[in-house]
Amino acid sequence: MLKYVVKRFFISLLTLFILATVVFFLLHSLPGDPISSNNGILPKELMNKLRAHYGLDQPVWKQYIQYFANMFRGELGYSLKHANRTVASVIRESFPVSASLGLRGLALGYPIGVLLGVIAARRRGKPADYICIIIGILAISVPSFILARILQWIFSVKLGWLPVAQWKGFKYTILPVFCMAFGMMNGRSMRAYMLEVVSQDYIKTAKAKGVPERRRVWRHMFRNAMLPMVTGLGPLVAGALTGTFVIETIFSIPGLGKQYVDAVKGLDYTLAMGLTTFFAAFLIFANFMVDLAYGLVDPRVRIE
Amino acid sequence: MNERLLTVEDLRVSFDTYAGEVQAVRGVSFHLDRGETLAIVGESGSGKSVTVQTVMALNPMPPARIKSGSIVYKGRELVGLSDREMDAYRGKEFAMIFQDPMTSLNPTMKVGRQIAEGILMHEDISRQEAQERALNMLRMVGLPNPELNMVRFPHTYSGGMRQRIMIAIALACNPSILIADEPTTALDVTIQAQILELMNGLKAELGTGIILITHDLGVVARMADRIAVMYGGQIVECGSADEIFYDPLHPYTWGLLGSMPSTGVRREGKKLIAIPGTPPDLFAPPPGCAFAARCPHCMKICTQTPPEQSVTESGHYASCWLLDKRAPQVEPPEFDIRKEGGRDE
Repeated sequence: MLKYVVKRFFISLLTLFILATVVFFLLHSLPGDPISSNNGILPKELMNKLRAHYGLDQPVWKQYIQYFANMFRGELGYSLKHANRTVASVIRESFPVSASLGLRGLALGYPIGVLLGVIAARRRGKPADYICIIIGILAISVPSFILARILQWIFSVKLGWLPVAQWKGFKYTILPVFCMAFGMMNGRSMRAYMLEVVSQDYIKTAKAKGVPERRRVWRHMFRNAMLPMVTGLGPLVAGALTGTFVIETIFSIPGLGKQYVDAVKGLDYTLAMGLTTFFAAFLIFANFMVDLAYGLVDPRVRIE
Repeated sequence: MNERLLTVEDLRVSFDTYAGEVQAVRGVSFHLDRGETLAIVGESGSGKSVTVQTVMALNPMPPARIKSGSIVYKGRELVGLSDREMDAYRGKEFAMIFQDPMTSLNPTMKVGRQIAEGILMHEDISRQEAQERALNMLRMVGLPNPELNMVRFPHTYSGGMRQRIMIAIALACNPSILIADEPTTALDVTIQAQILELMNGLKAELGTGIILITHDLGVVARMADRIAVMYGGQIVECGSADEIFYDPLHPYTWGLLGSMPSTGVRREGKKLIAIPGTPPDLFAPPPGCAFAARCPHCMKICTQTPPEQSVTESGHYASCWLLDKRAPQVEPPEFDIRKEGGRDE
């Protein structure tokens, strides 16, 4: 077990390093640099001075070595756009917001999605099945910015029950969390896995033992159908917790997703790099946790 | 000892598919007594499995549908009972083991719990007691270290061991009838013998009636008291094991016996005989005898009118026009049947 964890740790480090390298060169190959957006505002000499200050006048490979040397010391550097703010402090501030939104969305939407899948599979071909499928299709096909606008219009503008935007307390979280959750209420994969499990021999065995239908569904089918679902949970959790640009922008939520897009748009090299690395590390970590959790659900892959 | 457990009368089961109605079982009648082994033999698609799964109400309905017939268990009619009512019978009164032990156990549940679960469904005892009983079952089916095996998961076992566990699950509530649907088909030959031995031993010990489905006549010879030969969704011949092996009446049975490989020296140089052709299409079963198209002795009437049952004094019966008084005398081909293995040794 320890051996496995250590091995995974080093593989993860290697993955992170390669990923950060690729992103670094991609970012730097974008036209312009963080300072050039001040063209015509600042005098040329000042801009060159700024470039020299941030080391942007150096060849890219030198900047690369410099950046990674800093990173190995645990330094993600200062943001190039936010005055006097470290990348770490931006993450510290935005991540809890995104994570809280994501966790709530996940906690609300995911179980509903799974439940819809189970219901659809049990009522296969009946009206309940079609309703569940339609909800699932809506969940993945209605873009969150449209849903968000509709919700804002109904609950904030017309009814005045909930605030339109911002992030200042529980009331503010309801609409964005629902938007987030709705995207996950897609039970179609769970439905497919349930239908696969239902024709397995061991379900017939359970039936032949005299296990009633309800118990067969929840004790025998559900767990086995959840196994492949767990695989997809890693990226889902990581994605949900690290923020969604669209929902955060529409509801003016100061989360990671918004920071990330702003950083790339403004060529804020250090912030974009820092957030990419953070996101990747988080994704790898989430996948690792899921792999460990997988052993809990499926005895066949338990790591000794 | 001759207590009647199960009587099936004129059972007809169809599957409604998009392509039409598949008449999988077309008027099957048989019975089973306490402590008796009835073997149902026949090739794939002859309706063996559907018949016994209907008895246990294991077929999903729809698409399956009981068109007519009755299934009487210990004097009670089972056809028409709801799924919920059948739950009280399944596992308690009759139990089943399946062909493929590799897929018949829930991979995410400990073996002990899988056995105990069935007991808890039917008996008002504590979890603790059920576990205790499960442990005894594992001992009974001959698993080494039963205590250790209670907490193991199915994937850690070989096929033979899993089939033992399946038998433990099936017999946990001491059912009157054990239905074994090709229990040894997926196993090594050496393991086959062990499993059959185990089933025979438990039958003697518990007095369980066994319905054994197989297409392996070697297994039949070893296990069966009576044999029903199924073809095209019907029982074409039924009689005691001796009658079927030594005095078969139906040409299909002749074909089956002739196609059985033998290790005897007398077989040397002789070819294994195959039955030419394929089984009938159960979407549109033939109007006459289902076997007519493949039968070497087929007469005109065979393709037109279904044959009636001819019953001998001992109850051995077959459905074939050759047995009619007016039919020409046809001598069955010569087999060198010796009952292999098992009971008579």
